[in-house]
Amino acid sequence: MNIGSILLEFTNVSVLIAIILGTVAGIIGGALPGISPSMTITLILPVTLYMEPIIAIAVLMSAYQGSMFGGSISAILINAPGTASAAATLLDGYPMASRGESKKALQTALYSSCVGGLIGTVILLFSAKMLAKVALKFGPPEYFGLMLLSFTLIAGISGTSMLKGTISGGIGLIIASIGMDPIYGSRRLSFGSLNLSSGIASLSVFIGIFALSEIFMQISDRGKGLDKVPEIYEGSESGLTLKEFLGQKWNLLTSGIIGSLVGILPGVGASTASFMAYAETRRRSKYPEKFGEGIIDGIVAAEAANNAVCSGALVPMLTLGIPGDTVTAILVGALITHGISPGPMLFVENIGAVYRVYIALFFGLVALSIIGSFGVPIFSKIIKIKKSILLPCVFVICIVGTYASRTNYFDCYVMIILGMLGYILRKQKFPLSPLVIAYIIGGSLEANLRRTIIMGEGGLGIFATKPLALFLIVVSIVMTVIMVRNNMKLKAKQEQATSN
Amino acid sequence: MKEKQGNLVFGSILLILSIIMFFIIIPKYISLKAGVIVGPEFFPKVATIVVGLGGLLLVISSIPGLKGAGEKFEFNIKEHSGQIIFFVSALLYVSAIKLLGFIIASLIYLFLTLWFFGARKISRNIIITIAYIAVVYLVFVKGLRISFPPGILGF
Repeated sequence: MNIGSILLEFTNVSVLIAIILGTVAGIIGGALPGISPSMTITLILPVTLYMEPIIAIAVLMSAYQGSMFGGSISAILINAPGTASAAATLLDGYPMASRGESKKALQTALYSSCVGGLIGTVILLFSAKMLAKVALKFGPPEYFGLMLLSFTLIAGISGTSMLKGTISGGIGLIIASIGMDPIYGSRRLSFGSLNLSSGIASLSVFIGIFALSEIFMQISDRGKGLDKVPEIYEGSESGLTLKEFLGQKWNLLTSGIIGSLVGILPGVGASTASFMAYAETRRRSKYPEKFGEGIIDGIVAAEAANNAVCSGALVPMLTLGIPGDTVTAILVGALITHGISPGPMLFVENIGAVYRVYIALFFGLVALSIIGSFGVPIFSKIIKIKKSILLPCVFVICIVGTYASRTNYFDCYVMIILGMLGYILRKQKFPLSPLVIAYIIGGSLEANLRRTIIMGEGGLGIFATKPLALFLIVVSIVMTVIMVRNNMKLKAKQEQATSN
Repeated sequence: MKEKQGNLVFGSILLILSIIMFFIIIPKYISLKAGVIVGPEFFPKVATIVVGLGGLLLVISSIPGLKGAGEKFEFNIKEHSGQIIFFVSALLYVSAIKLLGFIIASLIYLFLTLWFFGARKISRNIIITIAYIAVVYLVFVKGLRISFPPGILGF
């Protein structure tokens, strides 16, 4: 299958409509505070299950890009980032909006997001195939090493609470082990229930842990702010000029590259990338003192970086089958549902799917630039929706979406219970992403570890004869040590700041 | 201090649950394979040990400074009453869909939930409820052909 014939598929009206709808849904989801990109993708996922794979890919990829930009709308207009990755955007975006330059700020965010996303897509295009070629030499021991490496990203996303992140990951592994044993096919932890024999549905986990736990958290604000309309600064008519935007070309390029590279590293995430790019741009700036007062340089850096992360995070996902962040963990589940298994074999057996992802990302960016240009004034109205109306409506979608995945009400009960579990864990300050990532990679981690042990006739000595596997295990250990050290330093700094 | 006490309580619960899981649930609900090197129980046991050890470490790490001054941890059911009501009502909603069908159960549930979340304009809530459920029904049932089993009223 050549890239030209796949490109033709994207000229199909239904695919183009899917891209437009995905982008709009992504922007809206990203713009609504409390609805993260992962929650947006989770809520869209059930709808895509009934679509052809190409349409599903188009919707998901464009929604992913759209949600990254969407977060900047609320960051700029109401000083509340719709997504964590837009937190750096508000540093300059909100002061600009407060001065009546909301239109310019939003346009800067939009076009920087598109350029950043494009840089990320080009990097994905060139790096993915090379990495996949190496990964083709992998057997069970190497795969286990790889899964272990991706497991270490839990250390990275746990922040200062490493122990809680590890416990959260352990809970995810237990949930993943419910159902059929991957080697012998016997039932595990199904408690005699036929519904549990086939395991816990991935949508029940995603929706319960992310979306429903968020609703549970927000219930605490009943009677306080849920029925209030957020205040929005209405902007003036002055927009971004081409000269101003072109003046940011080096900022766009460096921030896009920073975002892509950070995206490739598992577990670091878009918010880190946008702050890193922001700090780097400020460091190189001739007027660093103006950062934070409302200049476009800050918005360009943050938005170019966080959209470049999207494509960067797809590199380990597509080539190695390991999710770089929470959204890609959900995307892995989505692609598997459509019969597309991310990993090195994907580049051999189904290169068409890889091309479809690349092209969907590109078309998603084109759609984002067009829809964003015309739609920003409309989308900015959406964040006026009161949470007292939004949250019950989101919950109904959670139920319908979970039911739709396997047309089984049992999954809805499981989703609600997992939502409560997510709420309890969040109240105790346990990070939830490790749970979901462990749930996603748990099956492969177990299967490959057990196959390796069987290959080694019960011993782990086989790893000594597999240099690549050994290398990956050593890297995993080193990365864990580094992340633990960094997290401990960060914790010490935070404690010092609190005591002062 | 409040967080440390919370960690102590939560860590203890995790530790106890892990012990129950390891010694009672796994042996009872995972059929062991004779003569195999690593059986189906291997991985659930490893995961349980991770959670159990984590719980133990959480308990140990929360002991120093436990007697210090500050706000004390206490489980106040009133503080979580909203969540408990929503949790129970959500379970009932799913049961109601099975019994009454998606449309009727959702119309009733969404209207009540809007009220529960603080939206108090009845006329507006009625319009939102009817319009939203109609859109969801059209998209999922008519558009994506997902069939909800009919309730006692036949739809």
